[in-house]
Amino acid sequence: MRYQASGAESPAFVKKTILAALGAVASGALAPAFAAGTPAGTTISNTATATYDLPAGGTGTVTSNTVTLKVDELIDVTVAWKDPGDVLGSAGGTNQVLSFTVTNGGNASEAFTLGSIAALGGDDFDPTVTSIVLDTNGNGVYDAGVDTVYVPGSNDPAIAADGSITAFILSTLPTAANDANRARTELTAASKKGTGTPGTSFAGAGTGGVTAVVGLTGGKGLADGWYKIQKAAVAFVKTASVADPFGGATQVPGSTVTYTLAATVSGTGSLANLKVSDAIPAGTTYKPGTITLDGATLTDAADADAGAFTGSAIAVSLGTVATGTTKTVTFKVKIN
Amino acid sequence: MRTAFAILALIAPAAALAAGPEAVQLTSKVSVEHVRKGADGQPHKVVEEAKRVVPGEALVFEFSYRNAGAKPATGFVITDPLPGNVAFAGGETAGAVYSVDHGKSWGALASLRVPTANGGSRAATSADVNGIRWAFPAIAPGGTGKVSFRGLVK
Repeated sequence: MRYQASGAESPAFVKKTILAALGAVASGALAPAFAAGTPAGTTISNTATATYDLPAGGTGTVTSNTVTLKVDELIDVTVAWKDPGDVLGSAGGTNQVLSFTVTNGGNASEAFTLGSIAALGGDDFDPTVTSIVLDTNGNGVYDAGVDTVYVPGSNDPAIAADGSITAFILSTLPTAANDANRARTELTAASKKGTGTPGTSFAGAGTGGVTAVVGLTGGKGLADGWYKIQKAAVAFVKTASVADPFGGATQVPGSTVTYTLAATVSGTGSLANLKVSDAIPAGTTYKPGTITLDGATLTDAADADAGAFTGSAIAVSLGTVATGTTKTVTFKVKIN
Repeated sequence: MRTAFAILALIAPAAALAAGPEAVQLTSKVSVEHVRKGADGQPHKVVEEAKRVVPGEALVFEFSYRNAGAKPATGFVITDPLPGNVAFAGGETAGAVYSVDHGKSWGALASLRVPTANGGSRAATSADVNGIRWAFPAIAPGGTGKVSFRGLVK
């Protein structure tokens, strides 16, 4: 690589020569975006030029020797956890997905062996990793039955220089885990060409037969992802109040008993399909049309509204109830 | 135009003859700063002449000159075009001027501007440098010297 440019004002034809020379060099090794790194196998040549005044007038030019450097293959990989925060799952939940990005920081296409580690300290429980899945369709989201299950040694992902892929860890969370328990799970990636202390080299192992050199990452990477258990529980409190026909509160035939059922959901998340039912006590008769939910009257028929009287019990469907919520159901019976 | 070319054609070979291979000599050397783990387990910088590099490695470009002629070489200018895959990284011998347009214009880095996509321009940074040059009024007969700068393999 050389050009001459003597003095501040170069004649136009010299400029053309300069551009032509640079163009020729550039085509040998296309300058990549800075982040990508010069591709493995690229030759970098440098030649300096000196000019000086000749005693007889005119300009003398001397060119240095040309130093040529060969760019070796750099092996670098980083793994990053992609989820915006703890992945919420239920105790006993299966196929709970953690998402990771694996990035090839090197300057040549590289294949990587992936792995997972769930038995780690610093957390509350260990999930059971059931599979690692490659984001085959490249949409960054786990698609069951579409994305390919990773099998080490069989479909080790090859990632282009400066490219990245998404990989998922699928786990089963233990049933014994409690609400808000967290678990750390790691995805690991290691270059198949080799790993080691930065600077470790593998002669001839690189693309086109160049030397492959382990970069600052040691040729391997890992990242932690976190699961968090969401477990909700419900507590029922039942109370009764009596009103007798005489304005008092004694339990005599003809007295009306109002039962209040308070269902309080605690923990994290919500409970789905929560139903409250209560049998009508022996020796009493249900007073029709007295079912209420949070103060609103419900009909006795098994219809669109949430309440029903089945002949021997009342039932109210509460649907999905978020934690921290209390649902109150009341109904009345008459003492026979 | 014809006249101009004819004159140049005459001058060029004459100049080459007068300069002679022996008058001024210029040698270039490129070293790489490898970081190696030393005996004490700590990383140490080892500078060695480079044949092979990887992206991100620091290079030292060094140019040695010598006036082997009998007369002073006046108006002496050393010019190096940075290879396309090398980013300028400072550490240059004092007195350098730079180019960010492949040698069309030269100046202090702070004075140079780079055109932007929207038709404007912005202040040049060291990443834009694609030429470096040192000028000396004269090199005495037998005089020698060195200039150097650092680069990074992109």
